[in-house]
Amino acid sequence: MGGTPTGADLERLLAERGTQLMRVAIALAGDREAGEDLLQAALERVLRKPRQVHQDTEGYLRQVLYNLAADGWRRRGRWRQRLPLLRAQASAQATTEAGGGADVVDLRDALVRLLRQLPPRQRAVIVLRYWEQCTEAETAALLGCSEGTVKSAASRGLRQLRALAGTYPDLGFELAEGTS
Amino acid sequence: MSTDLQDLLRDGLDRLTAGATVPDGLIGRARRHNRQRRIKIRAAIAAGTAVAAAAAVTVSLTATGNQPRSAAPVRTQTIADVATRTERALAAAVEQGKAIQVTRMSGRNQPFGLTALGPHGVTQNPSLTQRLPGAHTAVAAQYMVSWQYHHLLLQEGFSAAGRLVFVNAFGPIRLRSGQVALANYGAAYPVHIRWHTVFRGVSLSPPAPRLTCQDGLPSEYPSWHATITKALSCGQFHLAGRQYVDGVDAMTLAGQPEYGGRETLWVNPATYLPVRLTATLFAGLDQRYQQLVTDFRFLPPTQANLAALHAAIRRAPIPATFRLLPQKYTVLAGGV
Repeated sequence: MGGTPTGADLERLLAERGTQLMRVAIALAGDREAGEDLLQAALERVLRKPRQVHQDTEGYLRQVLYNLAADGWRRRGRWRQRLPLLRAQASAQATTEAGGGADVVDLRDALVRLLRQLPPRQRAVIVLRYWEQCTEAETAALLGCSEGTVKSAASRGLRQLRALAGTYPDLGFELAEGTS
Repeated sequence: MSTDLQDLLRDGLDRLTAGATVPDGLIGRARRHNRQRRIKIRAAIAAGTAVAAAAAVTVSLTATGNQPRSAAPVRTQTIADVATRTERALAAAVEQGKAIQVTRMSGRNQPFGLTALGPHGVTQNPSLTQRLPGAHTAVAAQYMVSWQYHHLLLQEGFSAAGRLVFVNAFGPIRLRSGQVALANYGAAYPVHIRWHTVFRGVSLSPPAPRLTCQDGLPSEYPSWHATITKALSCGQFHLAGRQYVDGVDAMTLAGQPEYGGRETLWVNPATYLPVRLTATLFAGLDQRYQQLVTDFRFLPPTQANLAALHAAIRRAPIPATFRLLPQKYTVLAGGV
C-alpha cells in the first residue's frame, strides 16, 4: 500500500496487520492500555498528514509509532505515565511476597517491567534492536538518528537494565553481559 | 544462574504482547481525537494568539456590505444582522485601536498553561505539553487574563488564589538599527524560567489565514470578528433569546459546531460587542467534560485604563536569575 492513504486504507491495514502493529505498540508502551493509546496516536498522525506517507503505509505507521514512543508521546499525562511503574512496583512486590522463588518466567516479566523504567528513546532502541531484530542501521533510519546514537542508546539501555535488575535481589539471578 | 539478558527480554516482550488485538473503532477514535486536538490548538492559540494575532491582524471587512436577502427566512436575517453588527463593532473597537480588549478565560477541567513551540511551529509539538523545555513540572494556572491593545498582547495566568503563575507577552520592540521587530517574552514563576525571543523581519500585520467551518471554536486568532463571523456563516449559531450576563440583558447565540460539543456567545444588544463566549466539549481519550469561558471587556483607552494596562505590564517583573530559554522557542499561553 503506497501513496496517500485514506481512512479506508488504514482500516484495511489494521484488519490485515493490526495484530503485529498492536504488539509493537504494546512492547514500546509497556502495557496494553498504553499500547492502544500509542497506536491511536500514530494513526492520528497519519490521518492528519497523509501526504507525508511517501513509502508504504505500514512502514510509515511503524516509523511514527517508534518516533512517538522515543519522544515520550504522552508527556502530558504524567500520572498516566507513572501508572505502569506503579503497577510494576506493585507486581514486583507481590512476586517477592509470594515466596521469592523467581523462575525464568518471572525473570522475563521483571525485565519487561524494568524496560518501562528506561528513558523513552533507550526503550525504543532496545525494542527495535533486540525484539524486532533490526540492525543498527535500520534502527537509526527508523528513529532518524545516527548509528552511533543507536549504539550508545542500546549500550546505555542494557547497562541500565542490568543496574535496575540489580535492585531486584529477590529475583535471584545474575545477568550475563550481552553481546551488543 | 547466568542467562542472556537479550533473550530473556525478547521472551518477556513476546509474552507481554501475545494475543494482542486492535480494539474496535480505533480509527474512529483517532479521527475524533484529531478533531478535538484541532480545537485545543485553536483554543491555545486563541488565548496565546501567537505572532499573527499579537499583530492584531487586519482583515478586510468584506462582509460588511452583505445584507440579508429579503427572501431569506426571518431567523437567518436576524442572525445575519447580528453577525454584521458584531463584526462592525469588533472591527471598530479592537482592530482600529479604539479599545483595550481584556478577556478573562476560565473553565472547568480546563487548566491554562504554556506551550513552547519549536522553530517549525505547532506541528513539532503536537501534544501541547503544558511544559517548557527543561521544566520538570507543569505550569498550570486556573484562569488567564489577556490584555490586547494595538500590537501588544499581555497574558497573565493566575492560580485559584490569585497568585501570578506566568506572564507571556507579544509586542513590538525597536531594534538598535531602528527597525521594529516583534518580541515574545515572559516568565513561568514556579519553574524559574524566562524567555525573550525577537522575531526580526516579521510583519506586524500578516495576512489573515483562510478560515474553514472545521476550525471550530471562535477565537481571537486571527481575530474575534473573523472567527465569529465565519462561525455564523457556517450556520453554527442560532439566536436563542436573551439572558442576563454580568448585568447585561444579552442576546444569546447558541451553536453546535462540527467538532461536537456546544458553544454559546452572548452579545450586548446596545454595542453588539461580545460579552461572553462559552465552549463545552468532551476531550481526550477519556472524553472528559471541559468548559472554556471567555469574558470580554472593551475599555476605552482613557488615562485610567491605560494606567491599568501598564500596571499589568509592571506587575510581573522577570528576574534575570531565571533560566533563559533558547531563542528558537515561541511560547504560547492558553487552554491546554
